[in-house]
Amino acid sequence: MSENTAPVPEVDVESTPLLKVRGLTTAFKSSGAMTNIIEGIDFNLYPHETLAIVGESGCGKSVTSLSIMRLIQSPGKIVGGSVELEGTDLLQLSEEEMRGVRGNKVSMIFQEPMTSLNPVFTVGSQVMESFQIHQHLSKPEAREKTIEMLRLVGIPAPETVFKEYPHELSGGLRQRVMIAMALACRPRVLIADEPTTALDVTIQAQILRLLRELMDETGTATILITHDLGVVAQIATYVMVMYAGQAVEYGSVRQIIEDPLHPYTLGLLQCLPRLHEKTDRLFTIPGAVPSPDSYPAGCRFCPRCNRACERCRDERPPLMELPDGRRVRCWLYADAEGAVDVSTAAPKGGESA
Amino acid sequence: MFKYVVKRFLQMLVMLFALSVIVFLMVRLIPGDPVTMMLGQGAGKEAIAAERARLGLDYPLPQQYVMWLTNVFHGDFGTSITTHKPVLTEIVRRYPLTIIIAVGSTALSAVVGIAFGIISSVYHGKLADNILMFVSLFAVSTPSFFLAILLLIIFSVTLKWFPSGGASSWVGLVLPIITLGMQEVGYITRITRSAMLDVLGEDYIRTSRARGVAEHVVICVHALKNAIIPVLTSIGLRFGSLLAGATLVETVFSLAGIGRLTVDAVAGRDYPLIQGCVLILAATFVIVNTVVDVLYTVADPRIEFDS
Repeated sequence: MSENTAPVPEVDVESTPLLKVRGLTTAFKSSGAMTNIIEGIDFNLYPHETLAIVGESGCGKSVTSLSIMRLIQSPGKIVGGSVELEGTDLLQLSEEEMRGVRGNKVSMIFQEPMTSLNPVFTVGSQVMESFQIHQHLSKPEAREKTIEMLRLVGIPAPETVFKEYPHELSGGLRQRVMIAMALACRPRVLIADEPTTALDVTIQAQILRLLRELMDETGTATILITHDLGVVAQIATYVMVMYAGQAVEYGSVRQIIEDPLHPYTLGLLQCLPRLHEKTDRLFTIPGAVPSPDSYPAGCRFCPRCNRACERCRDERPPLMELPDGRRVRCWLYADAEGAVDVSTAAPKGGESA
Repeated sequence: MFKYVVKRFLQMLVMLFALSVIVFLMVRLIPGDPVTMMLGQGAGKEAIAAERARLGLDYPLPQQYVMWLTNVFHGDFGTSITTHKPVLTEIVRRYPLTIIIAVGSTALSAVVGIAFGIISSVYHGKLADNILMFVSLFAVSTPSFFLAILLLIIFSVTLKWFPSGGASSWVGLVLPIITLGMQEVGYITRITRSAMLDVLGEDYIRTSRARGVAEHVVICVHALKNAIIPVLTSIGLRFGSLLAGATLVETVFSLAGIGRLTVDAVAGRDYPLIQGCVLILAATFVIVNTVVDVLYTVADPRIEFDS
């Protein structure tokens, strides 16, 4: 599948990527036409690695994660690309085979622990289901494993919590339950879609620490979707910055945080208030993410960019890979020494030209 | 749980008491005098007065009410003015048939309506959904007397599959149950569909799918258990209208149920019989809704037992 696609920066020459995403493109049907919501997403995910996908709301982070899980609901549709998990392209599996992957090899934690658990079933029965579906355990066995799992994610009195309903638990506890559910079958890849956004700051730190410990213990690779760069700095190894459905910058967490290239990444970092700097007002990037049916002709970030030039308005910047392995989609770096165009041609859809 | 059930039960008793007062007063507000009706327009004043005294109608209303209620508590609903048989005997003889028809059509509408509603929500916006929505609209808006006649012409007169009246065996109940249940099928299809559409868009359904749960389990277990509450409510509330609708169906299909008994009693100003019938029907309705209330707590653990 990926023979003809460009190389992605290698983390460790020894290991092969667990998850290879190439040219992933998902479109939504709106008023008759298919409009690409995410376009040509490429990345590799290695064991033990945490890839953070960052960007404002509406830039396609969640659609990317749901596309990997193949949970895109009508009118959305994955129109191209491949998602290879240990050599198997998930996009080619039957719905039945895909069900065997979900919650088993790839699982997901959602943003809203308050609404992501079914209110009319006990916590235990929901976690237990994963064991029953994927490991075909009997009820007592699954029950035992569930209680063990609840204990592992730091839930006090797991036997009691097992019998409780979601509304009887606090937000932090519910998110722990979600984590227990997601990690029940020791997945190879965990997708965490803003796992701490809905939680109190004190609980956020606990949950992040828990996630990191579990990652280290199980070797699970993580895709962390967030708009919180503080979280990124704490937990990520690689970062992909998304804007308007495309990856605009990709690199190690160090590169991104210490030396951002793309004006958008820079803007995001400047939005973070700093403790030791005196500022009267907080920095914001002017404007908002354009909607998929009104993307500008040139660079999609151009209207909000403070370094935009003539070329940015008229031509779409290609995704360039620089000699140090990072990638950036910006005309400022297109002619840099050693830069290689690695844009994957996005499959047919409304917006791709 | 126990506390909640006891509380609902006590509320039900208060309701039944209020009901008995309303029934008692309402009957006496119907224009027309039962004694004049029994004895004919030409009866003498003394004869009428004597008859009134015999029936206890010469006491003040509050006293009449207390006497009636005391007797009801002793299982004595009085004696029919028109047939001179005990009211209770009449009710016991006629009520089971009505209950069978009402319960039968409730079961029919619940099973078919919920199934249609689920199918409709799963195929939202597709052909199956459109067809079922049309069918349910048709079912809701067809008057039952018209449907009854239509069914009679097709299935009894032309095809001769079912008898046109009477309930000598269960076969005779098929058409009445379908007639009475049809509107409910339409209602429940629509309520189930909209409740399911709401639930299917919830985050926890996505969570179920993300866990690899098979789609039919997601829909029929994870989603349905959340969507069932409004459906249960509607089934409980509509049970009352089924009891009322039974009157018409019993008339069309010549069935001796309590519905026709009530209508005849009203026509004859048979105070004790009207009171007995209405009280029993209303009590059934109150009891069914109490049972539904208790069922909620089984379906949804979030409903507080003792708030």
